[in-house]
Amino acid sequence: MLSKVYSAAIRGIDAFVVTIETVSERGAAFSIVGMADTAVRESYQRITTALTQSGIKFPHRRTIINLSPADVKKEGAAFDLPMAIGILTSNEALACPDLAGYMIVGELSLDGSVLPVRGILPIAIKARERGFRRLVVPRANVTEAAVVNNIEVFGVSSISETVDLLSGNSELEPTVINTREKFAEASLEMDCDFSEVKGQESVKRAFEVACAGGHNILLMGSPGSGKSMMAKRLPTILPPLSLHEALETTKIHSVAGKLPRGSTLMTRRPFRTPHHTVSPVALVGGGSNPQPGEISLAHNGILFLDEFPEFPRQVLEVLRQPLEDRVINVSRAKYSVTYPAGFMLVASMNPCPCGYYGHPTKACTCLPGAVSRYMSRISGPLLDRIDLQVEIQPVAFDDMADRSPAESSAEIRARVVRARQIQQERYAEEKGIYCNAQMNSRLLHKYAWPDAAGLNKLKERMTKLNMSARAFDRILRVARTIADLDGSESVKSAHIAEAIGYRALDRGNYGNVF
Amino acid sequence: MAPKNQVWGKEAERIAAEWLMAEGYTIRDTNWKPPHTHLEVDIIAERDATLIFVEVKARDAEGQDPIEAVDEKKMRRLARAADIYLRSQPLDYEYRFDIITLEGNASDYKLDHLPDAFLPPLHGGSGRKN
Repeated sequence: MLSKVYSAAIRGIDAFVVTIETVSERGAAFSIVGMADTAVRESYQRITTALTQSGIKFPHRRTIINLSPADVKKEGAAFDLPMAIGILTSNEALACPDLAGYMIVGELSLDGSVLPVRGILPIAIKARERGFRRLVVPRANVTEAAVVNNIEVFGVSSISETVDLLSGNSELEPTVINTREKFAEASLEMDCDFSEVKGQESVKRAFEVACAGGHNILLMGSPGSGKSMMAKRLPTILPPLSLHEALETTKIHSVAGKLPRGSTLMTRRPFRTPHHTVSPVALVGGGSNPQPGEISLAHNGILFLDEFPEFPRQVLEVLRQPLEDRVINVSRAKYSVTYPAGFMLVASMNPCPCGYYGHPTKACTCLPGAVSRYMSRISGPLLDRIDLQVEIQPVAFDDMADRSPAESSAEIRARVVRARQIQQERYAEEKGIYCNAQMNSRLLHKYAWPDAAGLNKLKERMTKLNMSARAFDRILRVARTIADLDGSESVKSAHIAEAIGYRALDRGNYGNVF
Repeated sequence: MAPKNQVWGKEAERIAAEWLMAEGYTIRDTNWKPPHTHLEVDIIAERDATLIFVEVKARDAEGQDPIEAVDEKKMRRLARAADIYLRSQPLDYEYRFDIITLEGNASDYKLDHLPDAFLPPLHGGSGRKN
């Protein structure tokens, strides 16, 4: 008899339906066809043992399992459970009247329990999209799957429980989560806050500007000046995730298997801090079984690269295209997948090898030329994509000793959110543009052209500081964000002046100490 | 293989068949060879509508576990022979693969019976044939 059980597999960050066809007939053989990888082929052993351990007899018949579509490579252990169900139904050891209405995923343990699998959220989304009425997932994944409404999601903990459920002898209730409600009540409480940061008002302001316009930012400062400490607090002033963004981000983390057990939607923006020994593949994604990399895990959040010049050149250069396109296409001989990669890049570095160039009290001990050589480790095209370059000075003692709390993250966030709203309205007509950082030169001319006084100011400062043409666009873009924070329709001279202050590296004399 | 071992091997298969009969099994066939193949099943027994394909292993002295005496290649060959046998039957039967080991010699031996010793090995996809 032929039975069909529906399951799903992941490609990129989306799922596709896999039909598991099982035929059992007279004879003694067992085969799995349809581009199954090692983990899938090993499921034979897991299924037979799991069934025996659960007191269910493994049918001794000639069994052929086909995973369709047959031209796509199937990987992982998530087909264990649906294959076991297929074997039982095709041998009439299990009768399920409405098998076609179910989608089933789950890995089997040798003792018959069902183990969690990756990518449950995209699978649940696909199941609803394809009109399945019920979704059977491992118990440990059930809250993640239940984010998707309008489909009955059952979390099972063992194969016997699954058999009972399918044959209708189960009291198991579908897990229901009101996603919108859950999402609305998710607290934005974080374990750190900008109110704990003493002094550094200009840097906080730069962060506010960066978050308001979605600009990438580079922090330069001597050791101990608080670069990493402040960067960690950046997520606290970013606008809260929208439901759509949260779904997108959760999907990526689900596929990467990075969601904690029992989690539902991610409500906080991700903050990823790969170490500088990261490989290009770990950063952008790939591998023989493609997995999203750090830049995709940072989607809708922050990618923080500490000790920026220590990253190998090759690793940094792969960032250029995703910074521009907000997606990454990973193409290999065997596959080609696209992962979203819309992140805000935050990088930090020392100003020179010894770390004290520009320090107010300590002397820089670097040899002549060392500073510019250190700077040149970061290529021009990459620096070009970083709108704000900010120098951090160590905190003065008086500020450190000040015990009155500084402005809280919530207050800063309120201003950021307001500025973002202005941008959203402005770019409602422009496809694919959501914030100031994404403006191209055409849009810069349209939206960010300064008034007469501002233009004069720009001319005067750019000549005086010997700034490059490259800086021009960047300054306008940042000035637009500052104007938005100000609630100002036009870009004024004060906005330009502040924006120029965020272009430390464009000053023609940077690094020429001697 | 030395003739002495062959003699003990043949004797072991006879002893195993007698033992099975004493246990209440019916012997359907011994040394069954599917046509046009080089496969062979030592004993095909039947009990309670189940066909039992038995591999008999004779040993001089104590040594291997019965299951170790049958490697994957042997399992594949047995499974293929069993598959041919089962499909030639007019009725559906349950099946089982048993291993019987005999340790010692014709006059003084120890018999071990391992029922349901293995399942047909996974077939197809890997490019490996029986």
